[in-house]
Amino acid sequence: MNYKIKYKLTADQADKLIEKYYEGFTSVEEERQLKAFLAQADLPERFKAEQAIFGYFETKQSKPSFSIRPYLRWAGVAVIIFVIGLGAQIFKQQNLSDYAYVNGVKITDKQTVRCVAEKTMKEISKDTDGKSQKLDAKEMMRQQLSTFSE
Amino acid sequence: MSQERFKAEILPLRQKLFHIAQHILVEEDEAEDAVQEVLLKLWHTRDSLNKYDSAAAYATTVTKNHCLDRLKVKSRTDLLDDSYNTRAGTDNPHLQLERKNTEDILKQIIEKLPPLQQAIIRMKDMEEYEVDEIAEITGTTVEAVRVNLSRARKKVREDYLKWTNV
Repeated sequence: MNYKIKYKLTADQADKLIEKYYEGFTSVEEERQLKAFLAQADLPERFKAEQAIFGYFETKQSKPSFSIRPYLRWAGVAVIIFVIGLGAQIFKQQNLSDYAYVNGVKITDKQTVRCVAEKTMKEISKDTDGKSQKLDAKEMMRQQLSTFSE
Repeated sequence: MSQERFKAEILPLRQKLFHIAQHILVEEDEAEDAVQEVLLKLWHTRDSLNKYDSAAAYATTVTKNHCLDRLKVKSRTDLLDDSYNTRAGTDNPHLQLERKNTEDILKQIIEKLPPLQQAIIRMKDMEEYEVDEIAEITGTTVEAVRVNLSRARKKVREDYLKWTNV
């Protein structure tokens, strides 16, 4: 199919198509172009009759269509909704996986979270008395931090 | 009934339906028009054709009734002829007022077309069938459909201009 056809007709092209239309030679596709052309405002006076006639046909259109085109549109809508849903899901998951609140601020960077966590652990181990507890704290720290190195 | 089944079961009846039509209407042209109208009618109701035990018997009945109706309408319009047409003409102020609305005007113009032209212009301009599809459904040539379509469209334009430029 000619790609030029997709663009709006000029008045001269429309004149030619209208002539063809009255001889019964236009295809459905060409008539759609004419319809699009005639739907414009401020057309020359000579198009008045065709504007009325095509406008009338437009309101009566109701082909029981076997065409896949209308379904294609809905399929498109479905795909868009699916992609948005999927995107939202992934976004949500990413946000949930690694983050910590430091002084009320949410941090999602793994390195930062690790540093802060280590610091906190050290502080805890400083506070506790006795060697055994110190070891326990170290062990605990290792266990906790192993989550981040996975 | 699917498109394929319609083509396989209804279209082959064309010759038989034509004979029935000619038997009632006598004139060949009229019988031809009547058969095309019947086929288009059947085409539009093809979804419900499965209901009938025999689609062929149903098509025959539809053809008979359609031709008898045509005959009735014909004898009525023959009687009315000129006096009716002048009354319904463009110079009647009451009618002008009633029909000033574009949609009403076009609706009435199309309703006044011969039934076959009406059916063809509906299928092409409103239901967006291609000319060759219509030819296939009615079992006629593309050229015959095109000529009828062209006549119908020219007539609509002519009458519309008549109405609006009174």
